[in-house]
Amino acid sequence: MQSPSVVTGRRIEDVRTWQVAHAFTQVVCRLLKSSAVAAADMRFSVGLFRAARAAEAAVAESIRSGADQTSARALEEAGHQLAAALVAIEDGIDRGYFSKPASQPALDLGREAARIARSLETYFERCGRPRRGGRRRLARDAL
Amino acid sequence: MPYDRMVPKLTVESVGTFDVPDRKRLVLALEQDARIDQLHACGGHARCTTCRVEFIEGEPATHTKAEIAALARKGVTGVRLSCQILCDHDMTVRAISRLAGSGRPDAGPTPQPFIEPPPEY
Repeated sequence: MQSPSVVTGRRIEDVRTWQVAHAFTQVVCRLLKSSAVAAADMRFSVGLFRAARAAEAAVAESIRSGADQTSARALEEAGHQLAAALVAIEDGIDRGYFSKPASQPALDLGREAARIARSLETYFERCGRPRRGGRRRLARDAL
Repeated sequence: MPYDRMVPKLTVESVGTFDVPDRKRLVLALEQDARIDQLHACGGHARCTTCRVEFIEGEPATHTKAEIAALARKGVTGVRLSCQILCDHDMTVRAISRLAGSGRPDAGPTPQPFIEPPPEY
């Protein structure tokens, strides 16, 4: 059980960003299990799994921390890890470990997670800056 | 035939000029003779197109059927697959697909010394 976010009081599992990142990790696991050749290439499979898992953990950290700049940094890290995982999947296709159709769900989910993480990161970076004639943006508004 | 005519020279832009054994696969010449981190993710089977290079001079006139199919599948033009080319004359290339900055763990499985799949022109 994940600890509740200090920002929203909601459980991390209820936050859409984490759900997508978690679904991506699961799809990556299924993809790796579906290819005996990929599983045999430990350097490749461990690298891909670690990147996906690290992205999920960074998203969780961003939600848990609640500090805007810390959240932004964690989401930046999640973005880097997701990019690394997507490159690894493309590499797996090039190496002949996976077919393009079999990898498509993982690629779609990874890109979706990266898109959400990027937009949240931008939002968090702007949090705390006063808006003209309005209240400050708050991290909890984004979650 | 003078001796030096039997030793093709491979020039890699911004890297240097190298003597290459006659009829060596270009992808292997780039890696072993020019010692650059040329990608070849599929191991030189004309599947991935990561071994692509741009020719500046000495582009071979012939293409293998596998090379044509791979480039068409990826929708890539203006490049050649180094795994489908033998160094049988002097050539100058630009290495545009390198391990550095690619985010990949390694360049890929080492290609065989002969063209795969068996070349059809």
